[in-house]
Parts: sequence; structure tokens; C-alpha cells
Amino acid sequence: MTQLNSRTKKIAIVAITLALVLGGGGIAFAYWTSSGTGTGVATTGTSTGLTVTSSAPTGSALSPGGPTQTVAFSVNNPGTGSQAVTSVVVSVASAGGAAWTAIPGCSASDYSLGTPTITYGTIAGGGSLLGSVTVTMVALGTDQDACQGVTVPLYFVAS
Amino acid sequence: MVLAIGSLSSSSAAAYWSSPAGSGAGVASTGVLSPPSDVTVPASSGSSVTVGWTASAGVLPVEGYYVTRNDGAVTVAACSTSPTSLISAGPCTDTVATAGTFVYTVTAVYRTWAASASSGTVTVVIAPYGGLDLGAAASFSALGSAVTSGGPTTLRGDVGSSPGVAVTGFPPAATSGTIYAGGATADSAKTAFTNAYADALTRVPTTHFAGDQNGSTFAPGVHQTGGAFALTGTMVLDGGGDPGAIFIFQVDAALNTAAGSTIQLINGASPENVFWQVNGAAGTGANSTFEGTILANGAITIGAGGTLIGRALAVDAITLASNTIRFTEVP
Repeated sequence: MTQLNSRTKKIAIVAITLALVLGGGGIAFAYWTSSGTGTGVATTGTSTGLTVTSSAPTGSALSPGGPTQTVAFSVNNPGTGSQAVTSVVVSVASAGGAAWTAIPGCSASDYSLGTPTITYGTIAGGGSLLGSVTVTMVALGTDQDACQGVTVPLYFVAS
Repeated sequence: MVLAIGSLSSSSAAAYWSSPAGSGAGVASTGVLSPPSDVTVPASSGSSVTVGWTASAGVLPVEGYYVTRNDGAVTVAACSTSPTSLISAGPCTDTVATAGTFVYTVTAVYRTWAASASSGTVTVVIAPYGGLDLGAAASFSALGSAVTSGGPTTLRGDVGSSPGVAVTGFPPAATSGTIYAGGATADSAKTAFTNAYADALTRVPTTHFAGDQNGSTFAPGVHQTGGAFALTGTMVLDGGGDPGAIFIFQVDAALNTAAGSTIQLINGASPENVFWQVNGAAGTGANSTFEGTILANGAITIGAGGTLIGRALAVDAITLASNTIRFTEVP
């Protein structure tokens, strides 16, 4: 008897909900999670991962305690649906975010990155958000000759 | 169910994906500190090596430079510089104590960066015990701004005054040389004395000493004291069997010997090869025996009855009192 009552209630809730939507014609707010996909009724695109591209740095070449360089970047939405961007993290790292060890005696600790400048929000399909990040070289007080002339790899992660 | 609700809604929906993380790469560029250029040294040099260079080019403001010298095996600091004691520009002069062939390296410093460039080789030839060239002053037994003698002083060489013209006490003093009371000869001799004094200052000390040298024995070399020289008894200069053995004493203050004191020359040491550079006044005691050429940046007083086997060359006045001044041990 109890099971019957519970099932009856669920059916009732569904029916009521459908009736409200179909009959009311009011505003509905739909939200997709990042891993979500449509289930038959969806006609929107798939959730394609963001990409980040960057420009050549501007400003004088880095030196210990010296000038600041600015690197402009673009967070791109290659998909067709809008995507929200709430975070951009930049680090001195090799491809894929691996630790940068290519130059003996020079590492990520020799450099400092500013907080990325970007207005977070939603990127329409095919659109992009622009931002920038600053880079300086830290004067550590120890020999940093190994960093002379080095191209510093930056790794961007947008989500 | 929610999806179904959304898709079925007839009105527009503000739909967006919560974006999967995406990544990308970028770069920043690090500058370079330019090294100095054209680091030059002479092909050969005495103990004072002049090192020149052209300042670093580039945009970074170099804080300074330090210089090192390498003999093919060991690198040492040069030009009184170090990574923490920089000089703003070249050239600099490095004093080398030993002969050899060297390469100099000049390093520019900017904060924690350094950039270096090296010179060609310089062959340093040092005669560490080479005597001083007295030039036109060599013929003088006494040369100062004035010469005053009391009593029957006897001198073997010339007597001169420059820039003054006062030579007094002759007779009863007498010399086998010529008296130049001012004049071109005395002036030339004074210039030669000045040059010899300057040369003495450049000699690299081989030993340092201080205090009363009574009882001391010196080997040939350049012996330096930062204070006054005193002798209350006997000191010995041992030539080690070399008749060409040179002794140069650098005294950075006054020189004084006591009455009756003696300098003994043994084993080939010769008074013509003994030099005293005195940065002040020099005075020998009564009835003392002093050996060598005194070059004083002040006055010289030879004590009454004292003997000087050598010369008295002074910037200021020379005062004698019944002395014997000759060039050699044998009268």
C-alpha cells in the first residue's frame, strides 16, 4: 500500500510539472553542466574544450629585478554553444604544464607572474575573451646567469 | 527531466556550458647582459700591467666591473677589484709580484648577472730586486732643497741644492765633487731623484717588517714597513754571495737610527745596491754608520760624526755635521 502511494505521488509530480510547462508557456531557465550532453531533445552543440592562444610579449626583455613584460592572451571557444570562463591560471611551465627543466640553473622560480587581467564571463560559440598577464624576473641574490637570453615558456589553463 | 523541461520551453533560454578546461602556451623573453669588449693588455710589461676595455654595450646599466688575472692555472683578483668591489670603468693598473704570462678577464656586473671578456696574453717581466736608476742624481753625495754642513764634513760626490740655492758650510766641509747651489745640473738631479723615488714606490714588497730592527738580518728584496724605521743597534744585509744583490727598503714614515748604530753588509751586499725610500724625514744617530742611498720625502740629518756609505737625496734640506759621506766601503 505504501509503495503504491509513493509511485502514485511521483507520477503525479511529473504530470504536474509537464502540465505547468506545456500549459503555461512561461520562462524556463536551462543550465548545462560541463559534462552534460543532450538526451534526444537537445539540438545544441557539444561542449568543446576551450583553447588559449597568446601573443608575443611586449616590453623590454626581462632581467633580474628589471622590466615587466606583458603577454596578451585569448581564451577561445571553438564550439558552437556558449561556455562560461571563470578562471585563467598562468604558470611558467613546459607544454602540458610539466615542470620547466630545459635550462640548467634557470627555472620557474627565477620569474614571477602577475594575476591575469581578464573579465570573466560567457563566450559565445566561436567567440573569445581577451586578457593579459605580466611577467618579471626576480632578483634572487644568487647567480642567475643561466637565465640570460632564455625564452620563458608560459602555460595557460582556462576553465 | 530538467533537460526535457528546458527543451520543451517555448521561450528563449540563457544557455551555456560550464566550460571544460582548456590550455595554451606562450612565452616571455629574457635579456642578455653584454660583456665588455676590447680587453687589452700590452704584449709585455713590468710589474704594473695596464688593463683596458670598452664598456658593455646594450640597454642594461652595468653596475661596474671586476678584473681577474690567470696564469694558465690559477685565477686571482686583479686591479684591487672583486665581485663585491667593482670599478666603474677601465683602464686599471694591476700590480704583479711574479713574472709570467697572464690573461686578464674583465667581468661586467648587473645585479645577479655577469658577462666577461678576456684579453690576449701579457708577458710580465719583473726584476724584483732591480736597483733604482738614480740618473743624474747618481753623482751626488748630498742633494736637497738646501745643504748645510757644520764641521769638517767630507764628501766624495757632488753637493747640490734645488730648488733652493743654499749650500753652506763649505768649507770647512769639502767634497771631491762639484757644488751646485741651484742651477740646471742640480735641477736635473732633483728630477732624477724624484723619478727614482717614484720607482721605489712601485716595487712590490717581498717582506714586511715593523719596529726596531736591531739584530735583524735582511736578504735581498723589497722590504716594506707601514710605519717608521728604527735601529738602535746593528742590522745586517746579507747578499747571499751575490754582488748584485739589491735591497730596497720602503719606509712609509720617518727613519731614525740611534747613536752608534750600524748597518753591516755581508756576503756580497754593496751599498750601491741598497736604497731607502723614506716617506718622511730621515735622521741617523751620532757616530753611526748607515749604508745605502737615502731617498727622503722630507729632510735628512746625518748625526754628528756619522758615516753614510751611499747618498743623501732629499726633497727638503740636508743637514750635516762633521760627517763622512762616500759611495763605497773603501774610502
